[in-house]
Amino acid sequence: MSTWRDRDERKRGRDDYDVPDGPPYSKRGRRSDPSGYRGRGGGAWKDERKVELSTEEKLVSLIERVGNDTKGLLENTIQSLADILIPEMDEYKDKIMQTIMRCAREYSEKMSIYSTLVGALNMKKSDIGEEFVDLLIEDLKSALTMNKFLSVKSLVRFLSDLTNARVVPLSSIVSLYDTLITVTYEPGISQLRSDWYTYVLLSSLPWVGGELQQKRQVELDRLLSAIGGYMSKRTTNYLPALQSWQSDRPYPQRDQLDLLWSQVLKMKEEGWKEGVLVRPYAPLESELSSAYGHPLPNIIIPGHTLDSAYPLPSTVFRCIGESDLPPHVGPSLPQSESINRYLITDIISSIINSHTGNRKACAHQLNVVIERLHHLPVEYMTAEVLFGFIFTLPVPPHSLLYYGSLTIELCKLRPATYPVILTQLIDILFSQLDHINFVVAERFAWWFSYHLSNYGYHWDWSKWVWCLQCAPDSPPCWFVKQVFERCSRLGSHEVFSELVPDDFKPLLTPPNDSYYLYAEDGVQGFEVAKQLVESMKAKVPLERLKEVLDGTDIGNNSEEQLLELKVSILTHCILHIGDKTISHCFTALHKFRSLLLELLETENAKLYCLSAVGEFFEENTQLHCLVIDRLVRQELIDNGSIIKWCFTSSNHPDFTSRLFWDILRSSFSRVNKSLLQCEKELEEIKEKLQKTTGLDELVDGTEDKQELEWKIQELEEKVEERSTEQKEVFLSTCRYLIESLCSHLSTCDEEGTDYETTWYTCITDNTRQLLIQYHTVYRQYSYSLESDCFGGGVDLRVQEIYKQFQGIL
Amino acid sequence: MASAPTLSNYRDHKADIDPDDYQQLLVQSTTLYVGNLSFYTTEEQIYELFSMAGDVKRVIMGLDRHKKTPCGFCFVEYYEKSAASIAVKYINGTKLDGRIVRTDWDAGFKEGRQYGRGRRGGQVRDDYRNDYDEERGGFGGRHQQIRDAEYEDDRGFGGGRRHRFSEPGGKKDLSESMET
Repeated sequence: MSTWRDRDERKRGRDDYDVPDGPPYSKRGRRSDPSGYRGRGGGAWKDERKVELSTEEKLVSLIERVGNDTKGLLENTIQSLADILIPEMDEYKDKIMQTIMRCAREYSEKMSIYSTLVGALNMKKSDIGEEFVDLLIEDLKSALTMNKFLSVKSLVRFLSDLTNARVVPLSSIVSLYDTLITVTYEPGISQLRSDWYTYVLLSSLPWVGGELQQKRQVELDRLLSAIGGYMSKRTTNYLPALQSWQSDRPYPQRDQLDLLWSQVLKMKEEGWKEGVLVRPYAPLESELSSAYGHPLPNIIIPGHTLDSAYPLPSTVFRCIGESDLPPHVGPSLPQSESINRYLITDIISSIINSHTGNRKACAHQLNVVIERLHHLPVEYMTAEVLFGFIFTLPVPPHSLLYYGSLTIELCKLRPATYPVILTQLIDILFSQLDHINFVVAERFAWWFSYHLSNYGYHWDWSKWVWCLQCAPDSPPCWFVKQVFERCSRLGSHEVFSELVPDDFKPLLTPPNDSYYLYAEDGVQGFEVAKQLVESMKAKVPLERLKEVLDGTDIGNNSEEQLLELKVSILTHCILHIGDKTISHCFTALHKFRSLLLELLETENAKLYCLSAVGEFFEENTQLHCLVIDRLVRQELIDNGSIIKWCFTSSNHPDFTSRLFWDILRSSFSRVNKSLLQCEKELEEIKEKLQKTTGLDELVDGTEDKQELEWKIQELEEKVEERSTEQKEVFLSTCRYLIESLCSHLSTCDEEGTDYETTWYTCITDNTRQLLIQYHTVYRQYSYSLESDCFGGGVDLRVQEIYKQFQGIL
Repeated sequence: MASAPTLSNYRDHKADIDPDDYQQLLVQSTTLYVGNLSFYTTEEQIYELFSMAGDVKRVIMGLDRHKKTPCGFCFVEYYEKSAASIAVKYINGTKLDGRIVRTDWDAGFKEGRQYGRGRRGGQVRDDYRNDYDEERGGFGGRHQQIRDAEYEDDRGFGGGRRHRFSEPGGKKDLSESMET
């Protein structure tokens, strides 16, 4: 352990600018590289440029890194930095201020350092403080009108902390808080709106609670009782739809706002003390208090509009407790209801949220926090927060690849400790799979196989050998199967299966294979298929191929049966011809598209085609999904038919399989994206038209205008068409799912068996997730949803899903 | 942000395009260049990893000019720019099939670019490598002639994993056979 730490120390020592001692920077930008590096030949210019930072870049870098070095007194470092910045203000004021604001947002663990810096600047020149506050207020106003909720949160918090640095008077913050809490009194608004503003207020209190208690106790008490009143009347019946854990085991997963309220109350009980934040303004109090505070203007919270999409409620994911940690660190883990747990978790989440563009910088910043708070098990909490992000329901805020690649970076930065912690958490999660939401379990399987693929698939499977005794459809078995399937797709099946211990081999999926129905004589249609494949290979013109296919004869059977056979033969033959790689398959589909198109006129024909694809790729789920997607994009099959096939055909995929949900999800996403795309195009053209009307005096403009109007008409029809498709796909899926659930329930009730099977939880969890993920769409159709899908006759246990969904809106 | 493709380290040196236009192409691009692949990595594996960023439109395997077998690079084209940008940000520098892959913006695929431009038919970098890299055809060009023979005997050179994708009976063959 000492090795990596030493190495890291050395590295930091070299990189970091020592603010108080060394020559801070050379104003003329002279190269001051002590290593005497001489650029030589190609590529040297890059390094040269790195060395020659401009004054502006140096200032930015100083601001960014202030406080990273733990040597020396922090307050002195900040004051020295303020001394450096003051003379530069004339030339670089904007850049300096913007940088300080950005840093306070991005490096949220250092926010108070930046508050103190602003305090120190304000102390020396109060007009700087004033301008800074004006800038913050401008930002806050625009964030409020533009619904940038995360910015609102960090700005209110920064303003609150500026009272500690005596830049903003306490009375101003009290009235800002009063403004925020009045939102909860607005009549008939969505709970999401009042929740959000209450959350912003509560999440700032840890910074100023102590000050308020001391100096504004009456106002604070009034504020807290107002929050308490609001908290007691809000409902959280949506919780089951957002929880990763289905029960309070292993750890209760509480509503985020609820938990924060308990944490703040507990903090109050303990005299507003916390043990996480760095507060460098405290030792400077006497000096800072001589400065002039700048009152805030009145802030008006914009009213609710249709565009304001407030953040969905969320829950706080927990997977570690004191007993899960090694004995020497366990006791230092802050209790779930301690404000310290909130503060650390919030710092970690903010860093992760604000570094999505650069995972390496993010890992580095997290490492800084882990090292700064080395007396607390921050590394464990980082892993917990990252899992929390990956498992967020309905969907994580950023791409799963971000969290996955960030975890890899953390393993690289902390090779001695982080992988060990991960292993421990993986074991905890695996042992609790019985209580985990299905959608979450699937994400866990995704992440785990992705992670393994980056580490040569090394895993000690033997410690999970107990799961082999469980039922084949039990969550642990299901999970291992999922991981195996993903691993054998990411690596090669051949290589991966060699790494799996023998007793686990039965859980391996068979290698990808295709099934060409017309390979052997005796199958109806064998002759035609044989001839068709030969003609395809012989580059025969498409018309000739059509003749071959039309030669299909099935005696006395009906037209419909003939169509079914023809579609099956053609689909099988095309897939057989392209059965080499994905590209070959797509080329073949492209080549023979027109032949298929001619046949696929009716919905039944489309279902026959999907069934043939299902037969052919029964043992190749990857291509199965890709080919279905390609068929839709080539406009051979529509999304509605896919949904119908998924639920009604005789060979539809198993409802608990990944394939089934992958197909459903990609249909949803295609339908949604294509509608959004159309709407966007329409919007753009309408805007264009408006501009041309402004210039209606232009004679040659009239023709364009006409053209635009036609285009608009065309697009409007398209939008209409697409939204009908969307409504159909979204509602019919919902109807089918509910029907399946209800029939399962009534069968179980009749037979007197337990209804909560793996199958049942899998479907309910996925249905809830889909409803919430597309809540904006479903909300438009809430009338149909209520009457057609969740109407009167539906089992109460299924109606519960709808109630939870409604609770979120 | 990451979609500032001016920072793309990769550039198609043979593209006969004005630098400004080239930048413009990069800005609009939904195509990535993917490098440092194993010769044995299949299209299926590439689809599996890159689909995690979003729907993949097509993958074009880089091929040895002479042998028409994969030579360690490919182009991945997405339907959406945002998906491509996720892949550039988060797949670059992580592993595929045990190798750290490199992903960069590409100005868009043109016929002919799928072939290696090295003297030996593969990528130029494999002509100049000094190490032995089994997954990239053994030694680099400089050592190949001298050392390959020695290795062929005791390492069963080329006897490991097989290419599923090999051009002679592969893609080219398919497209030719389908010329109607």
